Amino acid sequence: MLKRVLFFLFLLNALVGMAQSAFKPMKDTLGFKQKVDRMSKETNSIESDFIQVKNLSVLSEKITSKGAFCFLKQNNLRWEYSEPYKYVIVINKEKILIKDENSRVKKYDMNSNKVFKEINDIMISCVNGDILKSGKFSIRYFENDKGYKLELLPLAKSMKESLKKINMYFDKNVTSVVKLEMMENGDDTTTIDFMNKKINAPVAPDKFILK
Amino acid sequence: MRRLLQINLFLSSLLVLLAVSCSPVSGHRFVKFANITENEVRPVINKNNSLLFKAKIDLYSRHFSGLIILKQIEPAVSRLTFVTEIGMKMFDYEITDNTFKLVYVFEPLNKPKILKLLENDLKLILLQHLMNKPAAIYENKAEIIYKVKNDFRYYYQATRPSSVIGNIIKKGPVFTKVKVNYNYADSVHITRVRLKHKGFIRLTMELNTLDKSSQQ
Repeated sequence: MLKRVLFFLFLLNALVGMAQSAFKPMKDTLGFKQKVDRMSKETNSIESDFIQVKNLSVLSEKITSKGAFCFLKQNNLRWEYSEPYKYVIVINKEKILIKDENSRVKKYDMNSNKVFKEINDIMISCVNGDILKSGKFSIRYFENDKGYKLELLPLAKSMKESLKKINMYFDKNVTSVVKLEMMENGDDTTTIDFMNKKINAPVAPDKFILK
Repeated sequence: MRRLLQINLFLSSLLVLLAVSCSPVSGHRFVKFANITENEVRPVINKNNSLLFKAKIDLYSRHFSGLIILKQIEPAVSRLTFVTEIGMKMFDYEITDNTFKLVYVFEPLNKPKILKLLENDLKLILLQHLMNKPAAIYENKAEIIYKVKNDFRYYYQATRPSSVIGNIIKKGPVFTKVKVNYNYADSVHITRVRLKHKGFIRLTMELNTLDKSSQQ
């Protein structure tokens, strides 16, 4: 009897947990968009750690990498991978700088490379919330008791060829993006979790210079 | 006229001498012809484990870096996938026996010449011209060389008593086209592969093994 009661309680707990975390269509999308607008205006800098997991479905393999992320308004991004390899990619306005392990810094002009420009636009607009206004995606809005989830479906044919969907997760206060999921055609995914965030802490501009 | 013939003969002899003395098998004695199997040479693709490499590819002025994962998914089928550090898939090959099938390529890389080069070089690194193929075997006290001749001449060098390949030389009629060099941690597990084209094609590849235990 006791076993049955325990099993029932376990089941109930699991169901309550599922109900709490299940995303439902968002009721107040206008209110959410206003929060994102405010976030975009008020966020001058973000520093955080991140964990990136690349899931290669056919191979049943996950590649996990870790590092530090930094954003400074208007158009400065720094992704610094520290495990299991060292790799830094910096977007400094119109330049992309890459520092690989034991290599010299490589510089690329964003405007000379359409692909880089596209990737940069998505990355920056994901971070500052401008992606909602980009017109490049059709967006579905969801919420649960912990936060919000946006499903972004690419509209351009060229993007559809490699990207099926981007899921963006926000906390309930919409202070920043907490998680990004990029789903490719063929069911490979890239998930980036942001943690230990510092919003609007002073960030030295030389973080976006690589030598 | 006679003088001209003498000069011609001298130059031809010099060329033949150069070609012979530069041959990777010079100083080795011919042993036999044999079909090369896993008994003689350890394959790069591991049946039991996937391999994860940090990869750098420099093709003329273009630089690509990322991760290459190599895994056998069925007894005769393997996959080789290249993703950038930020998670973008660049290309994905399905390898069945000795054939490469392109499953996916990122559009800017989708150029026949680039794909042909990539495919040829990856085949070379994975010993696709050697495994289960007939080869002429040469040896000396220190090493064994497997020579395979088809579209080019391929020389695979293994240091005795190891069954792993240390170097590959791909040669055209006279000159070396490509060199591959392997480093091992413990005479079995690859730690680094370096491929370099000689001559007009400016392509280098460097693969460094990443520890997969930190990935679980």
